[in-house]
Amino acid sequence: MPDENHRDGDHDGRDHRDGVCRAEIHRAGGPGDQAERTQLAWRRTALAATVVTLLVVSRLVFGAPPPRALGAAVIVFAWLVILGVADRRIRSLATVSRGGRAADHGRAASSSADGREAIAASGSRRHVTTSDDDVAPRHHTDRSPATAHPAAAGAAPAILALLTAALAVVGIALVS
Amino acid sequence: MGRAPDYRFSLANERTFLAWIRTGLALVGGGLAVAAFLPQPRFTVARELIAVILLLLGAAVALRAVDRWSRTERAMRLGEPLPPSRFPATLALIIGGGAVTLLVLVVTAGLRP
Repeated sequence: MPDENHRDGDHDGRDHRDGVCRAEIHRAGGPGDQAERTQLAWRRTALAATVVTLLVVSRLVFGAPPPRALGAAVIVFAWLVILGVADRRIRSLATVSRGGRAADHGRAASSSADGREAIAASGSRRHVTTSDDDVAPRHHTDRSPATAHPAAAGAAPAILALLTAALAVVGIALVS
Repeated sequence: MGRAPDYRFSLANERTFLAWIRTGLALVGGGLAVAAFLPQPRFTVARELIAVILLLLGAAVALRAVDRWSRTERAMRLGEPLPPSRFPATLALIIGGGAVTLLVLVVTAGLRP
């Protein structure tokens, strides 16, 4: 994520209408693609957490005696929390994804008004615009807190990181 | 705080965070696998040592991931350069060194109990 991309509307200092700049943005994917990629990343992460949970629980239940049902129950609960956090995040990203897809369709039809209406309907209007001048990544003047950002992850990353660390700590208790 | 960046940058930052979390989960899984599959009598000390190191690394990667995600988000909102980090290089060196050590152990002592 190069920091050069964050200058006000410019990409490496080039004009928005620069053909190279447009090609790079096209390669990066439209707004809908970005949200969908993030959704899939959450799914992969939830799957990885499931595999690690299975490893820990199988070791707790079928490993060296005595079987520790309480520990297994705590781990399963942590896993359910991870799944819940991931599911909630995926659902909120689906809103952004739908808005982005509508914007892409609006752009393809050269009808920025339709695109804007579609984004507004999905609650992302302030952050995704469809006119030709707004295709390039740009800062917005919104000064609302991070949670108001349509793509804001909120507390989900912190919860996921803490539960992953907790899984590691349980693993240490199991092997040592 | 600051200005909201283009949300595609925020989503890219989030995907990087998730990739680090998966790395942490893989390290935790690797630690458990080492504890389960290295033969007990011959590798007792090495087994526990490697497993604990991998599990500690997994926890460190997860905690560092959320710290990095939050600092990057903050830098983007304030229009500052992204914070530098030596963590990826350090982690690569530790894992590379650990893999070579494990390879030497397995080659010299064998995997049979």
